[in-house]
Amino acid sequence: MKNFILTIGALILAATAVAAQSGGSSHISKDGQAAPQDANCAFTFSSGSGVTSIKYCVTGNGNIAQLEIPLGIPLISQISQLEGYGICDLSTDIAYSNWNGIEVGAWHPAIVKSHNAKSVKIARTTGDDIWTLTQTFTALKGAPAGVKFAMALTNNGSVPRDVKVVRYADMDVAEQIPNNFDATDNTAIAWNSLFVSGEPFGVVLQNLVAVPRVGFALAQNTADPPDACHPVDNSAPGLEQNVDGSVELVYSTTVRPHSTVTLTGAYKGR
Amino acid sequence: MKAKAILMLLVAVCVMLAMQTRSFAGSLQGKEAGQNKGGTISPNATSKCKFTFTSGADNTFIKYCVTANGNITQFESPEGHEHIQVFDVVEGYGICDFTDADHNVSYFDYADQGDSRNWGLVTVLSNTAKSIKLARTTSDGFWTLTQTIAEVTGSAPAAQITMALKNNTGKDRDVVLLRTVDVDADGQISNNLDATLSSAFGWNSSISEHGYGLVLQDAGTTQSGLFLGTALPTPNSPDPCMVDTSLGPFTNTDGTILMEYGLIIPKGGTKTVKLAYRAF
Repeated sequence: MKNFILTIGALILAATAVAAQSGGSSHISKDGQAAPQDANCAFTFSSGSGVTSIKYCVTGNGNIAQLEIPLGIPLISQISQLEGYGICDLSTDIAYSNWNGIEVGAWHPAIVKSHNAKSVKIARTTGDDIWTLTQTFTALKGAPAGVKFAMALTNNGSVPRDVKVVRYADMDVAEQIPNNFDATDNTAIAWNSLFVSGEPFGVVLQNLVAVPRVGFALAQNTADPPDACHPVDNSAPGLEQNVDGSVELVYSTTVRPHSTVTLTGAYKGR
Repeated sequence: MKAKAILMLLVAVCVMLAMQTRSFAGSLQGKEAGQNKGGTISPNATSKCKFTFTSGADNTFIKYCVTANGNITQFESPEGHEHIQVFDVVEGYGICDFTDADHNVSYFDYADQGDSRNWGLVTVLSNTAKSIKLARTTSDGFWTLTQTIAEVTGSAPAAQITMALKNNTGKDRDVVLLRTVDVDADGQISNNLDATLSSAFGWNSSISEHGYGLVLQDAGTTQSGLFLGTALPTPNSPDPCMVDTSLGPFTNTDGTILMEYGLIIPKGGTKTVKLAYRAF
């Protein structure tokens, strides 16, 4: 039995230590601007070891194109790499979104404000200059491993505006399609059940806003990105098994003129 | 390929352990249960809160309590959403010593579900506003389990449990160490339940009026090469030497979630695992 356990342990460590694949080449200009449709990794981060290890990359436009928790276990679809953000201005019913390669509404080029070994900060303004979304991505400390995103939304206009902000990802846990999907009020989950199908890992997309009822989570029974103005249209009615689905956070808030509201969340291993 | 190999081996170890232990289970209560070295009966299992920890507000709120025996019998997070203290409270720890293949020994304390009656008294080693550290030795003197239960504050608050298991004998020993809870997410007896390699979780879908959950998750830095989460479709926690493998997910079920660790502990040595309860 002793040797048996040691063998299992060695296999698990080996499985979780597989090197991650590298991202494609991204084009960031000298003044920090990203090409509008560039869906490739521009900034890659990795940390930790064993089951608490993480590797993720962020595009120049502020999408998380790759996420591995632990190393060697991709969670975001490596086929579509669909992940990103959306805004719905409720006063005009206009949607602005970028799901990494699928863009809706008019946006100015993204600008990289800062980056270092632990984080990257990217700002992007809508084409009508009403909104500026400044995103900061940082690895979470401790366990479970994860990446935190802070989405600071500035209303550049002169009147208060009600807005929905959406975060979304097409999940293919451990490169498997399909997976299980569900959500609680604050957390959307995608996972493979132990002993049933695929490698038994999972991921959550969790609302980290401390104030209740600003944000809520949902699982979609489709891999397709949402309409930022109708984000619950494809909401799963409950636990969905063996579907090609996706996870979503929806925030609802009011942003006063020339003010900023920061909405936070995280992807974490499960 | 690697996934299939791991899963097959994990299944195999569970099956082997179950086969080894089922024949022994009947004799466990008579031979191994009972009295500690001093001849006194082990303290009764209890779900009564002895140490309570609270912090945060709204979505960052957490309140949990620890019994005198080291069980976490109340866990509320966020504010107003209780996940453990609902009717019979079953939470605790267990050990299966399977060093001798034909003589496996179980030690457990599951609060309201009772204990294995082969534990000694608990010693409180330290107690602060943020943590409690307790040690307990089995009545045969083979094992000392030292638990540190610490509050993790912030945007995702948690009760973090460090379990250090010391082998007091003069022989290397093989064990399964587990943590288990009858989860009743947001006060609801029936929930959805499932597990991955490093977590087990019970929850209610957001479509319900009680869209909250509780996860028991490995917190890293474990000294075990073998660990797995398990969800069971029963509110009763298992004999540590008889943990069945159930295929999830389960829906609308009064169930149990647990984390299991396989450890080889050298004579006189200690191995430590770390895990945490967190609402989601």
